[in-house]
Amino acid sequence: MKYFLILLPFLMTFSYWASEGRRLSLWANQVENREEVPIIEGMPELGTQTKVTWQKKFVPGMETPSLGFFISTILFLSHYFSKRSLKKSSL
Amino acid sequence: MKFISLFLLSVSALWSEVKSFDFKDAKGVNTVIFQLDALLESINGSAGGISGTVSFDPENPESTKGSILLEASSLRVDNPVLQEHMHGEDWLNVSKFPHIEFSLSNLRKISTDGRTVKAVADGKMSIRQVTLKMNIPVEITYLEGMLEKRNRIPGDLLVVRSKFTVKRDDFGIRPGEYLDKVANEIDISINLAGACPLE
Repeated sequence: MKYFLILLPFLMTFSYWASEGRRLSLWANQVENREEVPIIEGMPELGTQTKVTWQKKFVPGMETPSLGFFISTILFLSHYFSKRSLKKSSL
Repeated sequence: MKFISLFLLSVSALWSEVKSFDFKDAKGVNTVIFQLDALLESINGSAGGISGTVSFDPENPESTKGSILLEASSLRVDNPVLQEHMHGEDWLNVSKFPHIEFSLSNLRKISTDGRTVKAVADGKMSIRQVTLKMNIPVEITYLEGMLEKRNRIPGDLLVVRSKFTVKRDDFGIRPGEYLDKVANEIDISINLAGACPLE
């Protein structure tokens, strides 16, 4: 149970990052949507153009699971050293 | 004989009509898409602040000339910090150099396929006041009388498509720096529609 709680920050941030598309760079606060639209409506045979629209949306990047991993490491180290100091004092 | 050929040339020049196409798209679809693929990071984005005019003569496409301007501040990427850096003094410095320009002087190596002209565009690219000669492959489609169907204004449409690469160090944008995160080669894709309304 203890170890599960230690791992919890990493598991939570990792699953959030994975569910939002596993973005390998830093976070994004706007998402680009590309759509091929005909140059003349109803006449796609004359060619298409890429229509780009930007949508405000937060997408977590690599920093999110990294932060979770950092917190879990801190928790693990503090648990480990507190256990050791308790052992020493009991001796 | 010389006089006759001169006369015929001048008559043909009168018959051929040079049309000026405005690339400030009323529909707001004209976009430049860019991509930088570095070892550690891939940067994708687009820019919509396009303007400029191109004069095109369907009978004489090699004389096509004009300029396409891109508002540097309209360049967008998905990460806010990255966008701020890209617009900032160290990179594009958009407050000091507000425009990126390609001025087209002529077309060569022309091949025509129906409404479409494939050619190499000779011109000059200006980024951060550094101007370099560039030859860009272009595909130009002339759509006579089709502006009405797009913008509800009688006139013609000119569609310019191109894919090319620029190197940031050629334009003095932090040459040789951060190459693992910001690639030197910038892949650019354009697909622009210009309008020539009937007067």
